[in-house]
Amino acid sequence: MATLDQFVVNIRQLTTDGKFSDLAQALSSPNVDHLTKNIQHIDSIIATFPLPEYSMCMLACLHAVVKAPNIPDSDLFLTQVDTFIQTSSAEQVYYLPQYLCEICHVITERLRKENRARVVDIRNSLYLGIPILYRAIELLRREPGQLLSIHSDLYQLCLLCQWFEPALTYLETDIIDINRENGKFDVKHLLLSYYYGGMIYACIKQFDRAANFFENVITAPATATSAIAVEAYKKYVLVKLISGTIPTNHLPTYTSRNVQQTIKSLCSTQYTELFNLFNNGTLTQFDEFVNRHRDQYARDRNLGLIKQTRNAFICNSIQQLTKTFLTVSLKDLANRVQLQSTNEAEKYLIDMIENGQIFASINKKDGMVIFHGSPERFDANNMLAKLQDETEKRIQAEKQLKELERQISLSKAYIQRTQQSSPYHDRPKILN
Amino acid sequence: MNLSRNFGSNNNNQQMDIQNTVSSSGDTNNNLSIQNPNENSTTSAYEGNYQVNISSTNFELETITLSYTGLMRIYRLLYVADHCSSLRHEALLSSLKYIQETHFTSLYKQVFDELKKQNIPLPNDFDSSWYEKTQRNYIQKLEKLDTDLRNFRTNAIKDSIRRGHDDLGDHYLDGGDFFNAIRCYVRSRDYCVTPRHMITMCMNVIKASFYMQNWSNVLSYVSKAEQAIESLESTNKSGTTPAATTTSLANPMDVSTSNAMITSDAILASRLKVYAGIAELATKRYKLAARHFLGVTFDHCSNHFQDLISPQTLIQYVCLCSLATFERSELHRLVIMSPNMKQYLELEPSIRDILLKFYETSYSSCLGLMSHLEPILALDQYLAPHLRALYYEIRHRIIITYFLPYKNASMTTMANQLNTTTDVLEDELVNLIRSGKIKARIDSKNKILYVADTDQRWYAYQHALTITKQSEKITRALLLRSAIIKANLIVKDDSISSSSSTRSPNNNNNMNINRRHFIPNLPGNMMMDEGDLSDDAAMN
Repeated sequence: MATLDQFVVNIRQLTTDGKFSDLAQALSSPNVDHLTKNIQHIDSIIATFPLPEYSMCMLACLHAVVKAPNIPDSDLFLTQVDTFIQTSSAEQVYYLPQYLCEICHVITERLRKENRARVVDIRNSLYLGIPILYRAIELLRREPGQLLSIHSDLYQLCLLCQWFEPALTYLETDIIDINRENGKFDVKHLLLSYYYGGMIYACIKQFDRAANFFENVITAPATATSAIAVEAYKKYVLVKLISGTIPTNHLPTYTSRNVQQTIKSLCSTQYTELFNLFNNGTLTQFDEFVNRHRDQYARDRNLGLIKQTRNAFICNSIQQLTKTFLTVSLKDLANRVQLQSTNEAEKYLIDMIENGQIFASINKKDGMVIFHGSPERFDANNMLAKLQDETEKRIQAEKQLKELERQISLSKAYIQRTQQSSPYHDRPKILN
Repeated sequence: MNLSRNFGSNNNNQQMDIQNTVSSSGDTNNNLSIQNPNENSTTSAYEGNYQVNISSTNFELETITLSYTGLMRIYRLLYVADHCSSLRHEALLSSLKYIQETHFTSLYKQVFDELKKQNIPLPNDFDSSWYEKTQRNYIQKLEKLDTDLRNFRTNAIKDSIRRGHDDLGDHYLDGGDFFNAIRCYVRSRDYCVTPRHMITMCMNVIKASFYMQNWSNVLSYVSKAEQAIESLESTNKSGTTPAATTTSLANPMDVSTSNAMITSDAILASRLKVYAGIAELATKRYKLAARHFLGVTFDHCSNHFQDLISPQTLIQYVCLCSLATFERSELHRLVIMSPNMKQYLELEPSIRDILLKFYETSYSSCLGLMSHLEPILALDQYLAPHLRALYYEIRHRIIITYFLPYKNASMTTMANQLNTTTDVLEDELVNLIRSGKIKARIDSKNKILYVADTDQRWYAYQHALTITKQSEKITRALLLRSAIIKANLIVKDDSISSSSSTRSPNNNNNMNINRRHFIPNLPGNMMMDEGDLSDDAAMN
């Protein structure tokens, strides 16, 4: 008890003095064992720390509570955390980001488990958790483009309760930096945040961006293959096929070797084959293939995506027909794409025409479909504006890249390295 | 009843049947895939146990028996017997007669059994004890040659050892044991001194590999032999020129022998070309095969190659391969106008007609002649497996050249020209368009084929949009990757590798190892990161 008192007095002192770095060091383990060992008194200790001046101390106490074997009352705890996040000072919290992140991890884990245990009102707790995480991210983020491990938790909860808006605000911004959280940022969180992010985009049917996210998971630097990457690859294949971009099978060259090998050995028969089938196969072959591997798809919980892939397959076949035919009879179309009837063919055609995927008109009198070229002339204002938008986005990304390059080239380590290897400097080498 | 498939089956690592020939990757312009098997006439690929009906042609067995000798004749006869029911009896009986001139006892037995199965009456002068006699002969001669070889080896005279190996190899070849024959010939390579020895060795190996259908072997030894011939020629040239200048009176005998040597070398070179050509044909490199065959001089072919190929067969091969793969100008220059080829073409007027009709674009008669000739070609063992592919390719070429000058063409007239119906033609065209060989679009209602117009401007804009999207995506991925590397995050398996030495005890990130995720790399200490590359520096 004495040491605990001492400890508390110590940290109070440091706080009032404003020596935040020392305070952070004091609050990190092993010193914080004082708190963990005396967990029963923690409530009284917490009461002594008014926010926002004592944010760090409060944070450390909350963290100790979280690390304890059993949290007494999770709802109460959640409200405690919530008030903390809303009223703490960001500056102090920046010193100990890993504590806040760990708290969030534990909260998420518990909410997820409770989701399975309870049957009634399961959603409520999840819904509770999301705003907490949301605000936590707001608090901890240094800049909009920074990634925290809390992101993966937030995406996970959003997926579980199918409420995507909070996640989307964070997903829209591209990541250019990762908060190390004093060494506690696990690469798993990175992979998970992109994996869940991809899944969220697939749910709202933005398949292009989903494919990008999955690709980021697969191409993360790796000397060993993670299970997340394998699952991400499976979804990547399906999402790429659905998005309708030309299905080339090449992962970027900077994918690490062992990831490629693992993918080839594990997924090639069921998933990579789909690429070939898309290019060269017929619908019956596709259906046959899917039926053969239906179990595997069910185990990976990708059946929904598979069904959408089937649709995409039909659209792809019809699009290939537009390249070879000028006019074709509905019956012929149905035969070539191997659909069941002309009505079904007509339904698909109408869908595609409405979505703007093909340009055609159907003449019901003689059952002919006439394919036109694209009526887009690219001379209207909106099209030029769109082109300009895209280019601007590109230039924006380029600017960020240049900034990064500039930072690196001005850094000490880089200059040292280049000086060492450059033969053109005739001044004596600066030994460090 | 697959006699022709079983030749060479008494060795274990042969290249198996005709249809399982080594299909190495040929040139891209020869990469023929049978896309649409629903062509107009027969859909079979001339593989396996097909039967050919030659009642419409005037094919006779004498063409084979007269133009060929040796093992080639026997094989061709057996192939005909396998695949043509009307000529079966004749072929089997005559093949039996020719087998009796060799020591090929296993084949003899097969043919004999086949005759018994078909209940074909044997001729009166049938020697029933031939089988045992020849076997005994074979084994006796084998032992004799073996002992001879051992003697030579103890005497250690290189040339006699080499000749001993050669004789042994010849004997195996005669008895149909190709695997051992090749083994002996290859052994004789160690004792080859002059290029001429080398050439003989190569020719022997090529012959044996040829019968074993080991095409890669054939091709490699053909190139070796050609190199040897070149070195021979260079030594000969350097040998004869000083001789010519120094001696005023050239001995006429010397000149004639050297001339004879030069012509025999030319014959050898032609022979190599034939071997190479057939090997390329079997491995589906049709353009190369045609080029090889074009180099074979008519005199050589008609007089010296009876155990290999007849001029008629050669021109058949040339015609089909060149029609399938050559451009029109090449076809004209190399085949139709070449004086060498003219002599061949005169032997086979039907082939000549096909070529000329193709060149003058009367496609319907050309295709008619081709289908007329088809049964005869199907009886050729080297051509039959590729017959379908070659015919498809020729058809596709016809369609492509037909459509070349048109902006829009009526499909009905096209179908007439090509001896098919409009529907079948439509399917064929769809395949061709899909594979990119024709740039056209089909108006299915009016049955017209239009040239595909490309709106360059539209494509340019579309391309611009896609490119900006792509490059943005790549840049973003790059930024992310640099952030990851800056944060020192790698998916790593800590349980396998030992961690770095300076591990600060505070950062013991020991995750639960029962999960399948792997543990990240451990960065330095808690607060300060090395260098100024971290944003944590902003804190201090």
